[in-house]
Amino acid sequence: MPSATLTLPVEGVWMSRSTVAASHPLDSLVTGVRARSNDAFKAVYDQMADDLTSFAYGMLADRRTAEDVVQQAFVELVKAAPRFKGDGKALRAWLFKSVRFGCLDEYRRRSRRPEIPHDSVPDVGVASDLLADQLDPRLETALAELNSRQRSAVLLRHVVGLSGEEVAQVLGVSRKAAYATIARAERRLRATLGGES
Amino acid sequence: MSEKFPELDQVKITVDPATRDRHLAAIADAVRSSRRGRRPMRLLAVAATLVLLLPVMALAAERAVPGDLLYPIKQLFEPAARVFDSDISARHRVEEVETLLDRDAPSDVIHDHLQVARDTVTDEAQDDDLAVLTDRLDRAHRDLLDREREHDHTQPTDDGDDAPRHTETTTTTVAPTDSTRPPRDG
Repeated sequence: MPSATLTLPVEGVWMSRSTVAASHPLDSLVTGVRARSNDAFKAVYDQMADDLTSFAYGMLADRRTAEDVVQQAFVELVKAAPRFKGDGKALRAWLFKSVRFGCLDEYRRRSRRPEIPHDSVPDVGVASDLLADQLDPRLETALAELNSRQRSAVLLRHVVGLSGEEVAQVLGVSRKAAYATIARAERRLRATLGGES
Repeated sequence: MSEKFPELDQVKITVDPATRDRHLAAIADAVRSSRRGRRPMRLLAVAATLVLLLPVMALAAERAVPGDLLYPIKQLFEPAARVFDSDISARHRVEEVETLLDRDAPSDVIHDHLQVARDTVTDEAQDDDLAVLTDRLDRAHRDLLDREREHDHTQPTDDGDDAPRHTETTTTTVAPTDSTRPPRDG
């Protein structure tokens, strides 16, 4: 366990302020997760589901698929739990990584699927809640302009609120590379969105 | 709220209760199946390891003699092997006496095992093998007595007398003949 505790909730996200090891809200659940305790998984889900689903939604622009990807990430966690090594922070990074890989798999599936032109799809029978879940087309286009790594980086940083170090951990790159990716993604997003942000 | 990109706020969503219930049910299912699946997999792994190891161990123990680490394993497999080969115990005991002789084991150990081998041969050997195995035991016994005699000749006596010392063996039933060991059967 870390010797010093220095955490502050920022926009609902617990972040370390300095290099001093800080305790993480998931720390106390890691042992239960390793033991495949249903209660521990439930607690982890309740803490992480919104952030993970938001991240997947930003990546895929499709809420239902995003939810499926998050569910699959938790099922994968159950399978891998006894072998999991690390603290709460590592568990959080593991889940984001898993969701990211799920999204990348979905990209591959989509690229294999034949494109259906939008104007050939009849505009009837679409549930209103699905329409409500649709992203603003301008934002969807702006996110689509980014490559998958840039999209992941900007969503993890600005939607989930991860630190640069945590983004690096999820992307599997150095901190410097993560900051560079975030900066490039921000520039591109700002340019596409019209530069008013 | 994202200060740099307020547009990204529309990406933030809250999981609705129905989705949460669906996800938690899937997680509980995965937990249940992982617990169910773990035990049979472990048992299967242990069984497979044993199945692979048993013939190797049995083969390795085949040449073991009393005092060897693998000798108990050889004894463990014998009752099962006896179903297919009724002479196996008798043959094993005779081979063990011969191996002990080849290894130059202490005389008392060989004498003890010779007695065990004679008993086993008498009790278990089939008629057609009985004569051959008894003959092999007799030869082994002669070799042992020869070895003891040679040993006595080379040992200096305490009182300086270099005359051959007479060795008394209680189990001497076969008179040793020549000093060259005849070729063994099998």
